[in-house]
Amino acid sequence: MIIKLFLVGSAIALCWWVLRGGRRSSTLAFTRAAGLGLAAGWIVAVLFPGVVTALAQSVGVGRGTDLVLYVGVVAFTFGSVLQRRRAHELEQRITVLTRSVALLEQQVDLRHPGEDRTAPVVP
Amino acid sequence: MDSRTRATGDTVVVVPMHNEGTVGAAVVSELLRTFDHVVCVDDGSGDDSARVARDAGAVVLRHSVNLGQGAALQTGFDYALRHTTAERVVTFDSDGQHDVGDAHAMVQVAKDTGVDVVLGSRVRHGDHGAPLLRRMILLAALHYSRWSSGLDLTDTHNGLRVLSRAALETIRITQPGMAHASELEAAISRHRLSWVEHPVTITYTDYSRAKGQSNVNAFNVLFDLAVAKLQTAP
Repeated sequence: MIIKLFLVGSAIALCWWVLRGGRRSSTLAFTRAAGLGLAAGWIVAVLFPGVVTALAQSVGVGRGTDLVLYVGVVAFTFGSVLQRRRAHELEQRITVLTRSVALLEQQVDLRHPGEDRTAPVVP
Repeated sequence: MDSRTRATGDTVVVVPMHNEGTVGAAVVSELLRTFDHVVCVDDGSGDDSARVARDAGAVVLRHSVNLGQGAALQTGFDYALRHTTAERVVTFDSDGQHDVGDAHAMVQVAKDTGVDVVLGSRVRHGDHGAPLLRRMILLAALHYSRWSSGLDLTDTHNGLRVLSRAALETIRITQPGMAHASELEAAISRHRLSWVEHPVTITYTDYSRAKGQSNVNAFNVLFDLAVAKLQTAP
């Protein structure tokens, strides 16, 4: 009973998290749909374990746990790829930003000589 | 050295630097003996590279976070295009492995022939100073570059180049790290820019060996390039 509460609860939490995150509309829609689908499947699988086994056998997987594992791996992989792409986009934004700051700073230095902005960057 | 005619103000030297406080000043002052306009792009150094370079007489652009050599070069290119009327840009490594005389000769070649890009080639001159493993990795990189860019190169990933303003306007480096060298070659080929190679000498000192790319990073470069190639494929 407690484990069911926990699993259903975490599914709802995941749902809420997916609905709040994201930025670009098409990727966002996909992420949301996938998240909702996963959460729905999750709840169904917890409440009616027999359904998963039946579904697994109907799609040619022997056991329900195997199906869950497969779906889990696919979902994880999609998630990782999405994160990687987001990290890359972010990196590019930081590059553009840092570059314009560097060019601006130099222009400011030209107009206001004397101020020393050359101290090392402390991470 | 002093018999050399000074390069005129139509050339900007871009020096990407990262934690180069020890040799940066020497490299800058050596460059300023030949070139009027030296721009150092300090790529988020943790030491006083920026101050050292400025005191030596260079214009300093500062990345507040470390982005990689490719990004630093592009910042230098943007500066040259936006804030100068330079006809051409020289890219020059900050670790002291390049010879300013070579850079000057390459600028002369660019002026005389009018080519868009002059690439420094260490192989043409006999690359005696490089360690064996480094030579093997460079050879593999060279074959990859020749295959992927279709250019008949004799050397690759050499930091010494001369690029015309027209070339700078068409090339845009998006690879932040070391893969930018291959990206540049691919751009030369894609935009059908005219190019020549020019023999240069590389001084492999203990310092430049320690500062230089680790051999393991060759794998990272290859990985970046493969991903970039897959993403740009139609």
